[in-house]
Amino acid sequence: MLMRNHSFLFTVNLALLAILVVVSLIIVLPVNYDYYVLSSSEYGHRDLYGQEASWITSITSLRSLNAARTVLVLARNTPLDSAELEEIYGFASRGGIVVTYGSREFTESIFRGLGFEATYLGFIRDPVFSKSNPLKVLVELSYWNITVVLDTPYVFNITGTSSRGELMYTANTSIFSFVDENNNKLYDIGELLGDFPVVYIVRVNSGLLVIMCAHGVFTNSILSNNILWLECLTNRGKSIVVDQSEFKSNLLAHFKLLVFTSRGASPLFVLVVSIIILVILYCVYSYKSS
Amino acid sequence: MFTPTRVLKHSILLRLLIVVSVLTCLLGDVYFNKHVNLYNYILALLTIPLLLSNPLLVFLLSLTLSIVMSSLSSTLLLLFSVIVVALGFLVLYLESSTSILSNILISLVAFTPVYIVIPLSLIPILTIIVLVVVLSIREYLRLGRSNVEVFLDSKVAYLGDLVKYRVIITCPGLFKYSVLDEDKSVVRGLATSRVTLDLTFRGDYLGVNERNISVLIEDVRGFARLVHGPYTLSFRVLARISGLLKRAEKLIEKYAMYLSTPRILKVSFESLTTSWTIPLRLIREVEIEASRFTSRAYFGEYMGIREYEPGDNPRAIYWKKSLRREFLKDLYVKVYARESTSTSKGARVILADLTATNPVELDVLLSALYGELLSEVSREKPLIQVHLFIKIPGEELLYISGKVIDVVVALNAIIQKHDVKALYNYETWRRARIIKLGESIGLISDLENYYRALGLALVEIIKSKVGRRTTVQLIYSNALAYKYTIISQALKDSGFIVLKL
Repeated sequence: MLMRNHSFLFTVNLALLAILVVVSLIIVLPVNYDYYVLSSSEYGHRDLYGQEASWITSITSLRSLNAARTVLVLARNTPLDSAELEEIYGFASRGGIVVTYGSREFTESIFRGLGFEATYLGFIRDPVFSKSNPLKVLVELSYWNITVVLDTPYVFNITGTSSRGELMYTANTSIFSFVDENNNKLYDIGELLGDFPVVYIVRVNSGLLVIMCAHGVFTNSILSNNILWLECLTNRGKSIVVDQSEFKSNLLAHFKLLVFTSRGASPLFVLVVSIIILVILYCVYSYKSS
Repeated sequence: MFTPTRVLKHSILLRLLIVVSVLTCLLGDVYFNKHVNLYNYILALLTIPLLLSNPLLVFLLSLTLSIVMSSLSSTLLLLFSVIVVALGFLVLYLESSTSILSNILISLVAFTPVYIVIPLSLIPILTIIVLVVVLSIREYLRLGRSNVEVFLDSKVAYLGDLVKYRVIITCPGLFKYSVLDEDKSVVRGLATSRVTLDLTFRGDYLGVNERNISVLIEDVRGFARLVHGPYTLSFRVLARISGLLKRAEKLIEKYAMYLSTPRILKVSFESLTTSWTIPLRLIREVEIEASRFTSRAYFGEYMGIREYEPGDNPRAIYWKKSLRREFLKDLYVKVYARESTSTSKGARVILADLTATNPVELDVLLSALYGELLSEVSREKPLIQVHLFIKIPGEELLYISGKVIDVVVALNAIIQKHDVKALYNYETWRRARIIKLGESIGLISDLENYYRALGLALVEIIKSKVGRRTTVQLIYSNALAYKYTIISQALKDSGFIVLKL
């Protein structure tokens, strides 16, 4: 009976340790979601995470942040709903800087949310002023007087006015860029050619809403090109916060975000795991000695 | 050298140092973060058991604390985590007096999930591994100064006897030892500086035997172990009977002048009626054996001649005078001053069954038989009359009678020239319960009746040969206890005094 109890206890403890190993492996194994702070893929934000950026897993967390000392990086594939847009607008109106980029639908949702009409024209390619790849387009931000690289920019035809703020564009592509309407990576006769506005600024009270019509700005593929602008944005001790509310529905991604902090794995998580292991070991040793 | 009191003082000091280090680390973390986190409170609470709990828990707690501290991403805190884990390890090392190495290694492996998430936590673990290596080297150096002596008390032993050997282990400080006889642990224990062990093993095989003895010396905490040996102990195992045979030869040589061929008969029980046959070949062999001694015997001072009588030594025949006579039957023998005159008054009856279940038992039976016979010779009674009924395994019952030295010579011839050996090789024990004769039924009852009939036949034989009721000495093995209990009862019922051996 004692032997059976002993082997049962041993099996249970071994199973617990195995579960902990599996959980740990899941936590550290890489994922390649776009705009995910722990993703090392082209459109991931792992490098931004390396710049001591923190993140929020719910857009309502913006209320607790000191907006005047925060730069919010809002990059998504899915469009924003009106409630989320209100939170972002509120954050910007409190003096925060919001930099948005992502999918066409996401950017379009911002324009529409602000009250503008946005008509999608197509991807912009620049065979001359590009960064080794026609999709990585070099633009100059006149507001900050700095050059940045946009990954896969696209262009909208923006019409209308908004009561929420004045829309002004701050960066154009070069005169050699064209709108690749049929997305064949080549210029075809009839496609629009010239400089196109790809970065818009909406001034909201003392805050700024920087809408970048591109798939990537601070993503892993081009962060090194835009690091000067990032430093410029955070030069007065502002902290970078990355919005990760898009991953709230993804259990694995959400769990990983809870476990990690801007300084690495959460000490609280490590403490909990360590205490579980300690209890397992102490139980085994106590049983063995008795 | 640490005394328990000093160890306790050191240990308390180390525990306090751990607590101070952890609290300092937490203050540092709060200072860097500018705010207090939940884990700071939990870590502070975990320092309380550090002062009170057993050394193993202190080690586990310090390991847990150091791992969490290493996850705080600060070089200074990482240094503190190394200090904390090293102190926890030292508490365990100082306070433990049993093997801790396996516990330490299992603990280190169990924290694998944390190492996966926080690779930096391997630094405290490496600290422990370094400490384990350093302490192992220290213990190996200490055990390297140990010395083991293994020697036998005697290089000769009798079959089945315990062979004594002594193991002396010297080693500085406290150590664990284990003596391995042919890779099997026979004794283990704990000692300080020196231990002397008197151990035994059984000599089961005749001739030269070898045993490999190894000594395993271990540090009490399991950090180092050293094997001395194997030491090969060589010894000779003799049968008891071999010593007695030599003694018998000496005594026979001493009394050789009195030697003559004893009466030897083969007794067979057929349908419980006794028949006697004369084993001529055996008698001839006994005669040759006897003549071997008489040829060298000193016959004493010449006293004259007399006529030959059956049983006289052929070497004493006075051929010169005998050949002058007309008939060959008129032989004369020389008479010497020490010619025998029987001084024995009582005759001994010995019934020995040499059916043994193993060689050791056969050796014991033969030794008992020779012991009985030679005790008479040793008591200066070489001419006492002996009636020996001897059952050789696989043979019929032999009856030998004559002077005790004649019987000894006959027995020597039988033992040495006939292949007397144990038929089996297994252990037997005497029955613990008392056999109540006459109460059994069935097969056992038949067997009992058969043995009783055998006993009664023996009674008749002894009566016919000895002629009177006397003492009968029974020598038999454990396995035949039932048979000879019934036979001895039959002898007792017939008025004999029965002695069992």
